[in-house]
Amino acid sequence: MSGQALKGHLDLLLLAVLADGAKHGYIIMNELRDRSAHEFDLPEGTVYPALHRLQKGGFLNSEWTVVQGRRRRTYRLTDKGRGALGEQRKAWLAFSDAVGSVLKGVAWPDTP
Amino acid sequence: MARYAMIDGYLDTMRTEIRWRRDLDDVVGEIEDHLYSTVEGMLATGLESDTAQRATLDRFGEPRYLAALYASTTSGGIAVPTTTTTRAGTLALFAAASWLVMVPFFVYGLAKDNTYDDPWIGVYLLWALTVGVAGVLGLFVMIALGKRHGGFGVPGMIAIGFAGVGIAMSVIVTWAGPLWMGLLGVGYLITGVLMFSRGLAPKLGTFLFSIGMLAGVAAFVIADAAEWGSPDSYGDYPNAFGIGQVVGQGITALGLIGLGLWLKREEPVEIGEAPIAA
Repeated sequence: MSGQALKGHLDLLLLAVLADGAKHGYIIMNELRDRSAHEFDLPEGTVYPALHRLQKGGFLNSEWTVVQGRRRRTYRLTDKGRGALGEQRKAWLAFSDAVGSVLKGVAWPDTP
Repeated sequence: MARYAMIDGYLDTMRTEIRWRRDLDDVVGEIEDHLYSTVEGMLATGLESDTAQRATLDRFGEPRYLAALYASTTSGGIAVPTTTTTRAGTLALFAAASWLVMVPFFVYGLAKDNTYDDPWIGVYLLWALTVGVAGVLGLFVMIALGKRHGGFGVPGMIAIGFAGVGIAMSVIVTWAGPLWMGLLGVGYLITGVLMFSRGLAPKLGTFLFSIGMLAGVAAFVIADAAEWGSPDSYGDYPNAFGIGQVVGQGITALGLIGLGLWLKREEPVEIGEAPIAA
């Protein structure tokens, strides 16, 4: 799936990946790819500006540690982020159900 | 810790592309951790070092495109220094100088207890000219500050509106200092709050610019209420007026100097198109 197709959904995906605990960018990117069965294969560098934006918005906080001589930033959901995840997930499920309802029962066209 | 030449070269490029970031070391450090983790993961699967580094960089993305993402604001603007914003730094310094031109006159007046009723017409005209020039230059600086922050939207336009009316008043009724200082002050305060919310500009300069004019109005109100000094033939207190001008113009000028040096110091950059408008 291209980056453009993810437009508007990246924040929700990042919040969802962080729902079960603190993670750093490398792990977040890997989980995003693995949990989407490699459908979400956007340039890995794009995840960091999005994480920074979410942190600035108060949805995440972060802390630095040193691992194997390298500085590593780990992100964690805030209460605001957890609330936003709940709301965005609800909106997405409603949207997804609506699209599914429209498509259900439509004969699949032959594909070339 | 082993170093990887291709990765380090990429990090150098990235550092150049996003050099306007105040948290440059943190951003590059985070990217370094990601790239090194990825390379090490690939090496563990048996890949050659060069192959692993190339694959890692391919997956991470072009520095120029990523720089565009780092510069993108939630409103869709691009917050980077440009030729316009660096030139506006010089304008800010000229604006500061214009604000300061009349400060010695008011300080002199305070020292003399402002015994005059009306200033000499030449001084009055010089005052009107300098506040007008300072105000107009400050307006350009406000616009440039908005551009530097990726746009301030409707609140930014409201701020410019207040400042614009304030400038007009400062030229038409220069004697009504607290009025036009108040209007300018509201415009500058809105701009300052918007700047603080983005966290790009130096905090001290932003703070002084934000509160300068309103501090001047406050100084006038307090001194006037305290009936400081001798009243003039209109029953007003010139000392209150003088201290308001000194405080307002002085603090605003200091703020503009801080912001001007910051804008001027930045190197303009060109930004590519972002790969994903997240």
